[in-house]
Order: sequence, then structure tokens, then C-alpha cells
Amino acid sequence: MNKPLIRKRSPWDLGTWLWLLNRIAGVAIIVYLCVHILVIGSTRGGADAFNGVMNSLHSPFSLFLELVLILAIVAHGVNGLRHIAIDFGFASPVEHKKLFMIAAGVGGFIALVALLVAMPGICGA
Amino acid sequence: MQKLKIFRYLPGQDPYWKDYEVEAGPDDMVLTLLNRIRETIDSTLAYRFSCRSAVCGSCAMLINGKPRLACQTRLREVAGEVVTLAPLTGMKVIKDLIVDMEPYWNNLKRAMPWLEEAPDSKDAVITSKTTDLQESICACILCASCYAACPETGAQRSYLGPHAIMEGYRILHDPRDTAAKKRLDVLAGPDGAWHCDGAFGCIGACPWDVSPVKYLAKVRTESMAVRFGKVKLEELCKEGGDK
Amino acid sequence: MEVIKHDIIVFGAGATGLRAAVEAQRFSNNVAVVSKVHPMRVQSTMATSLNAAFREGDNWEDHVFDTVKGSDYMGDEDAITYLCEHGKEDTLELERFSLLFSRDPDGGFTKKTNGSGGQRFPRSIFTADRTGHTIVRTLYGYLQNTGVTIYDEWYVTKIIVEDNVVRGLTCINLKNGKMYYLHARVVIVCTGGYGQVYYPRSTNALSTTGDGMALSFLAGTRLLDMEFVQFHPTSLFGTNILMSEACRSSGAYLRNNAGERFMSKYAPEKIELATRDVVSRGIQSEIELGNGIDGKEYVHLDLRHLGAKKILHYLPKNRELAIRYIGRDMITDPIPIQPAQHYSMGGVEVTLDCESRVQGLLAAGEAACVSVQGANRLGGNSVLETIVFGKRAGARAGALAKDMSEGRVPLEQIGAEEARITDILNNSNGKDHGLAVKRELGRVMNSNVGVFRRGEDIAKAIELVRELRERATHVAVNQRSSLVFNNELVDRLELDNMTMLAEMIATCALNREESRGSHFRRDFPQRDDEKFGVHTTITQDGKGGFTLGTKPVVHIKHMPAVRTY
Repeated sequence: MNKPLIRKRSPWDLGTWLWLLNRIAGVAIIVYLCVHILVIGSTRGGADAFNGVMNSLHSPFSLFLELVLILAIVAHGVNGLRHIAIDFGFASPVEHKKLFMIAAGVGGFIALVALLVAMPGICGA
Repeated sequence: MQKLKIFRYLPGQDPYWKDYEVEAGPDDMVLTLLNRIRETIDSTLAYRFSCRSAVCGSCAMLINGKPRLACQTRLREVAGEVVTLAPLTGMKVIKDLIVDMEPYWNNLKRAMPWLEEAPDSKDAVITSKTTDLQESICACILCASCYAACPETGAQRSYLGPHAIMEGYRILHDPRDTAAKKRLDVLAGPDGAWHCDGAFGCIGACPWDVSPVKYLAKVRTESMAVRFGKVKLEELCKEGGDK
Repeated sequence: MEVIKHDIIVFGAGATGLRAAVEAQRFSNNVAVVSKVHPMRVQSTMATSLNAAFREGDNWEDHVFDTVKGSDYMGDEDAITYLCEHGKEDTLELERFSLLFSRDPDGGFTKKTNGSGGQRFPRSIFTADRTGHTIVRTLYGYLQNTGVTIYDEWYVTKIIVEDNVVRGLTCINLKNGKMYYLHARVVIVCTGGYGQVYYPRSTNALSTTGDGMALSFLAGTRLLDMEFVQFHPTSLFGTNILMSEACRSSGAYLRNNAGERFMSKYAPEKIELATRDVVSRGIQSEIELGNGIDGKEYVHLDLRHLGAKKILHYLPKNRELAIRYIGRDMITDPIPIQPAQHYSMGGVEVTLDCESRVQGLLAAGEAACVSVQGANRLGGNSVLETIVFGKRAGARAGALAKDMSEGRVPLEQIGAEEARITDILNNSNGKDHGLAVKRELGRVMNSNVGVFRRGEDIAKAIELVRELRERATHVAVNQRSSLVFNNELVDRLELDNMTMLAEMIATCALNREESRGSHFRRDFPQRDDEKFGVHTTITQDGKGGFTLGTKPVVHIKHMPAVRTY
């Protein structure tokens, strides 16, 4: 039985990457939320348990993960704002590339700030 | 002379790329070149065609990786020494450049492309507000370029696709229609406009600049407006929508 | 071959076929439509508008006269009366199928500036300039909610008949490569015209090859008026894509090399709005006189004086076509145009109820000849014919199907047809490419049986077409592993039909020694009502060829008179 031949999506242009980015960021945020619930849930074990968990979150690796989280939130949020702008008619979808530039600019700026703040913690300390 | 690299496939065999070189001028359409190949070099090449004037939608295919209509893509618009032709993505390839459009047409059917009329609809007042919307959406020739360009659609997925949602939206805003609630449930439902996640491939792919995203956005905002009681469903449909 | 049984089968999924199916399914729950292209890909999608006498100040009797005169008194007045009388009702009924015609802000139907060629009143009704597409789209959508089965991309190879009663259709399912037999009590042929016989100088879709007409003839019907081929005056030079008549009815001018509105010479009263045959001859004459632009084979369609607002409102798609296919913007540039084959007035002879001489075989639309269009068709009357007679054929089929028995499945004929197709698939060892033979056929027809005809040229054409008919049997089929989208095989079968129809067109043109409507003989430039005021019929002669005959034209109120514009 022959497997049906379905060719992969083409082209992978700006819009498609943004779509993929939004998906990945969304998944990342959900994963974070689960972790966050687990972390907060450690309070059931009392102050010591909670403090123990919080201490472990100061490692460079944890800070790196927090950075990833911020980038994910920024990406997903800015993308979402892009959608809302188009849905509510603040921008025309035909100009989606221009809109992306603005979104990328804002998002990129916030991400850069986050990076600069987080860098020392990740690399040294 | 123009070099072309065309996707060839026979059911049951492995696909391959075949090289052709054919006489061509910069103003020739890709479909003209395909016909020329079929006439003078290789008559086994299979592709869909009918009107050759960008109104029937048969000849949508990937030209240098982008979904376009072969009959209105001039050679000078497709950069490169070699023009690559491949079948649309996301749908099963039947032969050479021909894909299985069944899922596409089935999705259109799921969007209920028929009028469910009230017995007293003869009194419905129809003005240019409604017909302008009709005309804008009927500029869509159902060529499947947007469908192929969208990452959400696909043979194994349940998303209706921009074409179906636009058609559903067209009839939603017909003042005579009585199935508005059913329609909105489909259009803004689990397989509907909320699937759209901003890839916007449909905008670049549409040969008639219909911009399906505009209507998908309207479906989303209108369904929210109805849900939060900002506007009654009946009022919405009588208005004819925004062009 | 698998056998599938239906009550009514509609052969062809254009405006006529879809309308017939919509009507037929009211009477029967076992209706099917079969078409070699998907319904959304049919030639009807190219149509821009239709006519009906529905406005204040117009009446359908005037429409009858305009059509009778337009047909150069070759149209049957009873058929024309039915068409025009039911025009308004059947056209406005289309809106029930989710179609909406363009309206003004006050709710009235949007009006074009003037009537189209040969009409004294603006009768056009439309959805922007995409009416054909909208009609097909909405009828197709409507059918999705009925029990009608649509066999799209099925190529019909033969209409099987037993004792002059239709039995069914043998088809190739191009998607899976298998052959099927569709059994029916009633078959309605709605396959449109034969435009590609004039390839590439035809405005028709590349898929319009007259298959239904040819297969109906082979099944035993008579064909009528094959010599009347309409040449539309304004097709884009180079691609022969149609520049709709809407351009002229919106006020466009035609200019020759000297910038003159030359049509005032050929049609002093109506000028550019004379009927298509008159305007085509005017343009062709100017070209032959050397007055084409820069001496070339085209003249200019000039809309610059209309202004951007009017053009963008009335002719957006035509403007797009001109920009995309010839690189000119009608707001600022004149458009190069030339006449090209556009419509097939002739077709399967049918009664007013769309019945042919073969029991259970109906035909409607461009494939049929009732005759509504006579020797020349008015713009907008074709789509009207599809709707009015599509509906009538569907209703008639519904009534007939109740009375006709199912009939036996003709196994011997089915077997023979399967063997024939298999033989063509496996043994076509020739070297010719189908498209090349089509091009040659088009060249012969355009040179000799075109806008202006002469006896000796037509006689030459008949000989050449016979040779091409023979040559078509040597078209190569190199890809033999399956019938799946085997366009080589389809080209070959289409060529069999096209060459036969071409020979008929030429033979009938040679036979008609007068000039009438779209048929103009340089050697017989006058109309001769006494000898030729009759239809030309074509029937099988029992020996593989055909014989010509005549049939009287129905005149009721409007007797043949001098026809000037």
C-alpha cells in the first residue's frame, strides 16, 4: 500500500516562521506554567520546602531558563498584539510585514533589555 | 530559451525532477511554456488547465516555491535561470503537477455554501452594502493557492481553510439567510477562523488580492461581539457586513 | 467496467448543466452530474453578465425582436419567445441560490450605460463582471446540500444508445484511471461549444472541445446550423482572451491606425454597439485594408475617455485582464484587440423541451441548437439561454425519467468501448503530439473558415481537416501505465471529436451559399432568404460520414427583413 505523497509546505517565509515561533513560545509558556504550579505547590511542604526550591532557582541554568521564558512571553505577547491589531482593524493584514517590523522592534528591544539584565547572572555569579 | 525543472510523479513510483529547456520570451506565461513542452517536447506532462485567463483557478501550482497561477505568472516575474514547477503542498499528489483537491472541496461543503432562506425573505432589502461584500468575496476563484500556503491546512487536518470560511461568511451576511447561528458555530468553531495564527501566507498567494485574513478577522471579531451581546446575530446579518 | 445506475445524468457541469441538475433533483433523488473538469473550472466561469428584460420601461417582446433580428432571421421565434418571456423570472430566481446581482445603494439593480450590441435597452444584469463565476459557484454550492452526485474529472468517451433510446455514458475517471459505465434513463448534454477547433484564436477555455456535441451526433442526434460560428470582435491580441462586450456597452470606442472610429462606416447607427458579427467584420476589414495599428493584425479598444472612476466601477476585471495579459491599463492606454472565435451557434437539434431525436437524450445551452441564437448571438443571451433552457431541460428530464424504464445495461457495447480505449492506450505508436495537431487544425479553420469565407478556401479546408482526422489517429500515447490524468489519451479523444466537428462546420459553410449573420461568404455576399432561409441539418449517413439537409425556420411575428445597424 503506497503512502500518499504529500509535499511539505513551501515556502517557509517570514509569516510561516512567525507562526511556528508563536506555537513554540506558547508551548514553552504552558510548560513554564506547569513548573510554576509545582514550585508554588511546594509551599504545601512548609516554608523550608518552598525556600529550598527557591534557592535552587538561583542557579545560572535557572536564570537561563527564566530568560528563555521572558523571550517566549515577549514573542508570544507581541505576536498576539499583532493579531489583535489586525482583528480590530488597527492595521491592514496586507501590510503584515510592516506590522511585523514594528512588533519585532518592540519585542527585540524588550528581549535585549532582558538579556542584558540576565547575562551577568547566567555567566558568572 | 528557458530552463525549467518540473516535478514528475506517477502513482506507485518514486517522484523525480525532470529538466526541460524550451523557447520563451520574458512576457510568456508559465502555462504557455507548459503547453509548449507538451506540444513539442514531452506530451506526457500532466497539469490542470482550463480558462488560461486567471478566472477558473485550475492551474495553481508552486512556481519557484510559491503557490501561484501558472496562467498569469509571467516569466519575467519569476527570477532565476531555472524555473521550478511543483504541485501544491498539503494535498496528496496524484500525478506530476496535479493534486487531490477532495479535502479542499469537502471543507468548502462543511462551511455550508448554500442559502437557507426564510419563507418571507422576498421582503428582504438588499442594497449595494450586501452586494459589495458579495462581489469582493466572489473575486475569489477557489484556486487553492491560499489553502496551500496556509500552515494550518492539510490533508490530515480538520481546519476548514480560508476559502471555506470566506464563502461561509459571504452567506452569513446575506440578509435572507436563516442559518446564521449554525454558520457562526462552524466558522468560529473548532475548525474555523480561530485556527489562523498569523502566518498570512494566504495574502501573498492569492492571485486576485482577496486577502482572506481580513474576513477571518471579521469572523473572529463578529463571533466575539455576538457572544458578548454587543450585537444581535440577526442585526449582524442584515447589515451586509463591511466590505 | 463498474456500472453505476442513476435516473438522470447531466453531462457537463457548466451553468447549463448545474442549473439542469438543480431543477432535475426536484423531481428525482438519483441525479448525477459528470464533467471532465471540476464544476468550478468550467468555461462558464469566464462569462461576465447576462440579459433579461426586467427593467422598468423594457418589455420582453422588444427583447424577442432584438434577438430575432440579431440572429439574422435564422433563430426560431417560438424558442426566442420562450427565452425572452421567461428571462426575467428565471434570472431573478437565481438569487434563491445564494447568488446576488449587483445593486446600487438604493437597492435597484446596477445598470450598465447602454444596451449591449444590437439591443435597444440596457438589459444586462450581473455581479460585478464575474457573473459566470458567481452563477457556477452558487449553483455548485446549492448542489452540495442536495443528493446530487458530482463525478468531476471524469472524461466521457461515448454516449451508449440502443434502438434509438439512450442507455448511459462510458467514462474514464481521470483521478483513479478506471473506466466506469454510468447508466441512466435520461441524459442531458450540456457540454458547451467547440471553440478550441479554432485554437489558439478562440476566447474559449482550452478544455472546450465540443465533446458532448460530437458524442451526441455519434449517438444518433441531428446537429443544426454548424456553419454559424460567432467571432467576438474584442479579444486581446496575442492571447485571444476576451475583452467583454461590457467595455463597448460602457462606452468604449474602436479606433484604427488613423485614430478613426471606423465602425461608423460599417454600422452608421449603432457604431461600436452593432452586433458582434457586424463589428468583427468591420475590424477584420480594417485589418485587411492595412488599417490595423502599425499595419499589424489588431485595432485599438479605447476607453480612456471614460475616466478612471467609471472604468474601476464597471470594468475592474476587464481592466485587470488587460494589465496582466497585455500590459496595458485601459485608463491610460488603448488596448490591442482582434476578432476571435467565441461562440458556437449550432449544436444538437432539440425541441423546445430540449429533446433530441434520440429518446431520453436531451441537450441544452451552447451544446444545443433550439434554435435561439440563429446565425448570430447577442451578448448576454448565452448565459440567459443556459439558465432558461437548463431549467427547462432539468424539468423535462424529471418528467421523462418517471415514464422511461430503466432499460437494460448494454454489456456488449460497454465491453467494446473498454476494448477500444484500451487499444488506443496501448497501441498509439505515432509520433505526433496532440497539441500540435490541434494547432494545425486551428490554423486550417482560422485561415479558411473564419470571419470572411470563400468557397474554394472552405473546400480546401475540408480536405485538410480530413487529413488531420486521419493524422489524429496517429497521435502518440507514450505514457501507457495508466489512464490517470492521461492527457495524451484525452487529447487524442478530443481530437477525434474536434476534427469531426470541424469537417461539419466547413461542409455546412460550403453548402450555405449566402451571407447571413456570422457566416459571410465573399463569393455570396448577399442574404438569400428564398434558397437559404432554412436551417442546415447534419445527420449520420450510415456509412461513417454525414449528409446535409434542411429544416424550416419558425417565424411568427417578425418576418425576415433587411438587417442594418
